[in-house]
Amino acid sequence: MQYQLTESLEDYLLEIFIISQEKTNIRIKDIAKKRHVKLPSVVKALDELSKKEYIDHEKYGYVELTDYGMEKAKKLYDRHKIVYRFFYNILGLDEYSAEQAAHKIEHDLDKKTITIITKFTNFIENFPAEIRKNWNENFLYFTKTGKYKDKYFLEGGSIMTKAGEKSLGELKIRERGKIIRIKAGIGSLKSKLLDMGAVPGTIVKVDKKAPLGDPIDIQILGYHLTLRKDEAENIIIEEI
Amino acid sequence: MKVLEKNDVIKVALAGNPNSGKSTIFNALTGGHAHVGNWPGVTVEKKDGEFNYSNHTFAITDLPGTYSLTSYSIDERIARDFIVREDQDIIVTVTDSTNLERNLYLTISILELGANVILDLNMADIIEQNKIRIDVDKMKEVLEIPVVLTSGLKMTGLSELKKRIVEFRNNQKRSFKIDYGRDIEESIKRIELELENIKSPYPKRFLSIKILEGDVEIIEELKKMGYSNAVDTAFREISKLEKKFGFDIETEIVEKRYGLIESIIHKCVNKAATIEERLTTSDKIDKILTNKWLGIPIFAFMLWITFQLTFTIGGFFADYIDLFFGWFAGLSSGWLETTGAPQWLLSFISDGLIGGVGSVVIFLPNIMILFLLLSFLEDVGYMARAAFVMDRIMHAIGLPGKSFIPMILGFGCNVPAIMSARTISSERDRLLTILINPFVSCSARLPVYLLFTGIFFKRNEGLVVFSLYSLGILVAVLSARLFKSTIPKLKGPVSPLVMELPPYRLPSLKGVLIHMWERSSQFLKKAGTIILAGVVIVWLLANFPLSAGYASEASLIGHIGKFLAPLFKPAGFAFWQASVALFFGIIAKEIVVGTFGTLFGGAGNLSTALPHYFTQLSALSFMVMSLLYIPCIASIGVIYRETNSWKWTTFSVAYSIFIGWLSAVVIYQIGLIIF
Repeated sequence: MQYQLTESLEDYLLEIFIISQEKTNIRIKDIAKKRHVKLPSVVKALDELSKKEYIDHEKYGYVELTDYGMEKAKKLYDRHKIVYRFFYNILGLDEYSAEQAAHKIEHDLDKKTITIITKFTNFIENFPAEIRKNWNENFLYFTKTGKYKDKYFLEGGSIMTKAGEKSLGELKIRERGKIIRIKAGIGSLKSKLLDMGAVPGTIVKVDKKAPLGDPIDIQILGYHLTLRKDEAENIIIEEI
Repeated sequence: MKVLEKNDVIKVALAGNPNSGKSTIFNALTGGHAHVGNWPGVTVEKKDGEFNYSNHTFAITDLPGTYSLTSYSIDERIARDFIVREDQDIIVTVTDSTNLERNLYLTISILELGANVILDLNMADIIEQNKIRIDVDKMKEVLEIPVVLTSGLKMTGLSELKKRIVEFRNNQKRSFKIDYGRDIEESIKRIELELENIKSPYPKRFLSIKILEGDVEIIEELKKMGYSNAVDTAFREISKLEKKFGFDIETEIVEKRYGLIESIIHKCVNKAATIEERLTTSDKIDKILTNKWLGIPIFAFMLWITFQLTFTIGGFFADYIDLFFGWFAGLSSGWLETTGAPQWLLSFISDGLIGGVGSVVIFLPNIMILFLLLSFLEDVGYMARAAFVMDRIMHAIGLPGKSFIPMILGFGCNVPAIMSARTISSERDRLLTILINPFVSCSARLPVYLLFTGIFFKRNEGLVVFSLYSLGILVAVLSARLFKSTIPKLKGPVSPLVMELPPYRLPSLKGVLIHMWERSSQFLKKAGTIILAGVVIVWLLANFPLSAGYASEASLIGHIGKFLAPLFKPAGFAFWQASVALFFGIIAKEIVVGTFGTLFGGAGNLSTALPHYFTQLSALSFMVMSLLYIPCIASIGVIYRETNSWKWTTFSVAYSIFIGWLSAVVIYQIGLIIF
């Protein structure tokens, strides 16, 4: 059986689902409390939902989701969650505002928009944790100041350096550093650098520069390795 | 003599980092007798050798020097494929004992491939000097493989190495496992499950780890074999793990390997040489050779010395070789005359065959001296510094530092210059360097310039010759740009530098000589045959039909000349003699001069005869054509030899002829407008 639900009914269904995650026996007053409405309105809504076989509901008894209702509620919940995550994780709104915003717009978005928001949210969230954190920090900084927090952000796209970190290319002759990581997105160069021993934790020292300033020569793992400055930019170190 | 049974042949492959002394070990084992060729389909050098020891014959292959076994460089793919597919009895990994921190990485990678490995700790003499003690027994115990201390230079430890090879040749191939930590191990297991029943020479575990590392070649191969599921599983595992760790899996895996090496060294080496101890002498030398102010002048000086020795000493011998072949040709034709042989046979033997062989051998002194010097500079460790010093300049025109040497050597002779491109490790950069080299004006083109400027540009001879040399460089640079932006195989940024600057080491004379001979003999074999064939063909064209005079209007070459002549109308020299001279110039550029001499009644008459045919402008356009079209048959031969491809050889020939023609036409036409 397929019924189109009104916005308000969708909200009720979602609320029942959320409460059902927390407690086993759902009473009408729980729902009324959450939705900030009077009992009769809840009863009316529950009758509607029960008619459409989303819930089992004995008068003044417990409310229970049917399998069908459970499925529908889960879908609604996922949609709600993704919109919430978009506001909270990606745009960096606080929890309350994100929740409110999600409630407000989730019903009005068509399937295509929901899909693209879902994909975008997943896209950003799937970045390695460190990169995402940096991304967020920079965005937050940008919303406040209109500027990027650190200059590597633009150079490396979203793969950049945290404050206090430097690239190997910035070290002067005889300065030393400990490798933190190699930037992503540089293809086989990364594998090459790793294979040559440029793994996190390794100490490097800039030994000399070529007569024309580029390439540079570094000491690593007891040998001399030469690389161009723009290749050295991809090795993130902390100065020691 | 004892009859050897088939199973007495032990197949051994040598693997190791560049500069680990692998070649020295190879030479010491084989006594310097190697068969040098190419790996199938590529231009990477392959060396095979054989030796006997206690009733066993060893067939030994020298793998390209690599640092690891990823699929990103052709050398590494070759090594990896060879180890798993060619079913070697034993892989000997040659390591520089003074730098096990990095050298053991390759050994570990090969062990992960499931190969039967003997670890050769080479340069034992140097660690002794530095008072480093390696506990060989402990290392055997930790790695569970035979370990041998050798010194390729002092020839110690070699019989033990041979003994161990015989002893362990039938060792079960063991699966060597690095513990990558619980999370990664679980992912590896899940991927391995997807690879059930796979028919691949690589172990399942190795494949799983390689997908996690993002090895493009393995991933593509598995997809082709229908194991996309495994790849998908791996990708899921990667994103799961990366979320958990906060950084990427490839790094984590490589880090684990280096961590293992660190612990091995901690257990087995009483004192690791600090870099200061290990490199003091070397670093002191570098303070001068790569000095901010002295680095480039010293490099220029080294190059100048190389150039001078190659072309003066080489030229000295070349003159005698020339004389010898002239004398020999005269002698043989004199002798043939007494037997009553026909005139054409006389000419064929003396001009065609003997002259042809002569034109191959005449390059040999140049090439041998050049490679003696280059091999020395390379083995001593200077070549890496040359690339270090010159990289910035060459980078600007889209080439790596190492292609500077071929460019400069080209001013002497393109043949050794193209061969010297071999020191460039990236195949793409090497090909590009080879393709633009013919435009660098070699010394054989100078007689052509001198002849024409002497007649037509008496007042500013120097300026014109200088402009021609500059034009050659300009065309080379522009062609490099053009190729890089249009030819798919050559596209893309300059390959990364990321290169070791090895410690300076004095190589043994024997080693350098072997290195030189390997390269020179290759020139004789491959390029030589092409050069000889080319000379014979041109001889035939000049002499047939027999009724016509040598290279006359009625000869085949005269007909070709007449046929080609109209093509040069827009360049201002549409007469058949010019085309014939250019045609002969393919044998060697200086022959252009001799041909004009023959065609215009002797070299003495040229100053009066040529102005009847050429104007100042068409003389200039003719010189431009001479500068830019195919340098000579020898260069074609050597381009083929070095690219191992008729396609690129043909391309180079066609392109240079076209560019020569186009430039000559453009210059002539612009000249017509201006004057």
